[in-house]
Amino acid sequence: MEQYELIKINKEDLVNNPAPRIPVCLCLDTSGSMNTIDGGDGVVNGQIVEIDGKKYRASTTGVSRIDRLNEGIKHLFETIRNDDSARFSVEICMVKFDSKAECILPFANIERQVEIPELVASNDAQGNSFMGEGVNLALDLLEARKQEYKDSGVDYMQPWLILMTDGEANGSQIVQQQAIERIERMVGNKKIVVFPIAIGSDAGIDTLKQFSPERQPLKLQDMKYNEFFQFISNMMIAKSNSGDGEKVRILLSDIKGWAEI
Amino acid sequence: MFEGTGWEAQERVLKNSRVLIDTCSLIYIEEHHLDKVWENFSILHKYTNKPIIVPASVVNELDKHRKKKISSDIKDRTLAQYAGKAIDRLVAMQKEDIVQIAGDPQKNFADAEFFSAFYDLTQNTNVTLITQDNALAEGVLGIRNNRALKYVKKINVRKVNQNGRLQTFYFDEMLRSKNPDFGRGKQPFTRPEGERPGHKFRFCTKTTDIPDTQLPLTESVQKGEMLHTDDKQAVILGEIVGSGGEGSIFDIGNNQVAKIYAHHRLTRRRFEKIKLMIANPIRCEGICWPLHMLYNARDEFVGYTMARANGHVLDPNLFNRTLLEEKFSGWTRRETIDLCITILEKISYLHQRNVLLGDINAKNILIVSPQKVFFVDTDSYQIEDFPCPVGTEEFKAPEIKATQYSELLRTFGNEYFAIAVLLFKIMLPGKHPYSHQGGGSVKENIQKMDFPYALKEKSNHNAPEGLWRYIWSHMSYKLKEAFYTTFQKDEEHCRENKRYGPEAWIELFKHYRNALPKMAENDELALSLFPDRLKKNDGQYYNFKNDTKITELPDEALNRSENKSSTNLRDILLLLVWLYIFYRLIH
Repeated sequence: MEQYELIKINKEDLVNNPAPRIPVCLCLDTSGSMNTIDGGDGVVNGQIVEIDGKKYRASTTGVSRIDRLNEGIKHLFETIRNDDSARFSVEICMVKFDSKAECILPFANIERQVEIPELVASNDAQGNSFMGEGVNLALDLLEARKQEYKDSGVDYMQPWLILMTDGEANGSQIVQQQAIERIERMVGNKKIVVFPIAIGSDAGIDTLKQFSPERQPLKLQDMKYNEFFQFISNMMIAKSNSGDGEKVRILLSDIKGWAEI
Repeated sequence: MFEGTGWEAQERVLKNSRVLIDTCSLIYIEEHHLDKVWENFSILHKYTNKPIIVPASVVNELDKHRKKKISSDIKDRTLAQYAGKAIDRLVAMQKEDIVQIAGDPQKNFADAEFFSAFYDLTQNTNVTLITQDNALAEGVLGIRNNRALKYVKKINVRKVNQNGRLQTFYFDEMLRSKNPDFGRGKQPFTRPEGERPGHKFRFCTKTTDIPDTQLPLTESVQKGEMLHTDDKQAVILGEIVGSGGEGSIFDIGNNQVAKIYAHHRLTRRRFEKIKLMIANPIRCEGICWPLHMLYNARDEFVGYTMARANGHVLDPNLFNRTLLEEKFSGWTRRETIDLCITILEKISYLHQRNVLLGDINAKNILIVSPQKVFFVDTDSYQIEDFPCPVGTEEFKAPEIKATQYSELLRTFGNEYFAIAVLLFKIMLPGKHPYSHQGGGSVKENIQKMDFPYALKEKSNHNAPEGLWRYIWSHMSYKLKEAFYTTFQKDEEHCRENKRYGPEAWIELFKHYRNALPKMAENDELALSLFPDRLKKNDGQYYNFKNDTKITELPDEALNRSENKSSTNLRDILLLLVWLYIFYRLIH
């Protein structure tokens, strides 16, 4: 499709859908450690093997964190698409971060996001995890989207940032500090809802905490990615049905199935 | 097999079903020394090899009676004697396999367990219940006639008479022969009473002091459970048809459903409110008012029954073009106007009785057709001093400062704001009246009261992008004026005590409906729900040629044509006044 055509369609989707939107950014760690086999020992050797034009990660056994994450994200999209309120309200973009931060899925009507990009964990030997850069980019994207809503007269609810990592942030300190301050300001003004999620035992809980001044980071149980994304989509569906702007309430019973408590 | 026993007439029924016997019949048999009943059960067993089922709870109940043999009350002592005999009999019969004791003897609430055993049985086989208890018989016959429970097999109910014969219940016969609807959906357990003529609820300004303290509930209510109403009618919960934060809705057949509350929603205040609603029924088709209170086997309040609603929920099905075109294909402006009138008439009906909906909200309205809608969640309505405990931000009037809906008694004026928002969102499918370019959150936008659509030369030029302006431009001028003066700050109808009520809106929509054919003559897009251009004008401001799409036009230019006549009249009057002044000046 022509670029111009695409912009026009996205614009029409934006302005002709009257539903109040919930912009969501999935900000995801794709550092090398995400190749860890989930729920057990052993790390894949990091080699990428190409077979029949498709890329496979070399591993002796098991399913890696990144595989489970991919599966969970697909599940999220499917659930949202199947709900008549959420499919017109929830808008998702995706940012990944390893040795750089990158937007891999821009905002659009969820029906147009037919192909969900597959996350591939970095092959970078240093295992960089530029979380500050990732969060900064996520906030930029969310703010830009909000501005689009405002400019065109589309109602919206406060954006959600879902931040998932299995390690420590090790990007630029300055950028990280900047991102933390931005989040603090936004959370303080109730301009964003942050869900910080830690994967595995090496995740830097303290760093995650800094990115979420109000909500404690939750630790994902082994292999419970689908359960987590089911929870997130339930929250989104409830939100898009409630018409209630600010509050996001989480009950213990909602997170028991996937979080380590 | 029953030749000469007096049971000949029952042969076919008994052979083709499992027999279940109730406590009172067992006692009756002993009391009247009807040994021949047991002889006949043995014969039946010999032929069919199927034992008579006695629920364990029945044995428990007998045992309880037996323990009262040292009671001071002679009645208890007599009963204890019969119960003891019945138990001995059951033990003996069980040894011969003529009796099978079924169920969990630990459960001590007889009714629930009995019903559940009975219900389970009816899933797979025809059942004949032997009981002396009219209420039980009636309840069970209710199951038989319950359309929702299609998988229920044949159910017969008999009682033992003093000659040891089995006979049908008189009301069963009566209903079968006299009521043509019996067995075809209508059932004895629903006898909703009519509305009390002229009844109005009190209109209160002070919230009730009945607290929201939680009521006890021993066990959560499940599908298949048998509940009962105030007047002891049995109700069996069928399939779940919906659930949410408040609880679940179960099918109970007969075109009715039961709303069963989640435990944390079962409060003293709610109980009293539902009781008040049921004592003062509203009978308006499409308003799903509570019909009967529901209690479990322990007589704990669990919910209520109401008419079953159907149709598509207004939000999101009408509030989104994709869904609208799918669910209401072929709808034009005409249909949405009719829909508004239908909804307004129902609201007006409630208002006349001092009932406020409180949480007017498009998720509580189901649409079957423009003339047929259902109002659900009526238990949240504001009635007398019971507030509507919920609310929706986008329908909340700007003057409402309270944040706790559960302590807020709304005014008619508050409600009129919500009505205006709902009507606007039906006319501009799904679009909130205050969404505008450069806007903030819904709440902030409502507080500002800066209405973005134009009325004649009045405009703040910030209508949202997209086709919303086009839809607005095609609406009748009177309706636009009503919306504008309601939603725009400092206009005539913007204040709480000045807003249009449902009757005034009905007039406006009827006028629109009458004007529609003429409007369509002027511009065929008058009938379209999603016009893709502004309304054609009479040429004074621009010439409309062929299919030229005109998307850029100053907002002020809209609507001039529709009001040209009134404008001219005003000009003429003004001229006359000037002439008069001029005349006086020169003379």
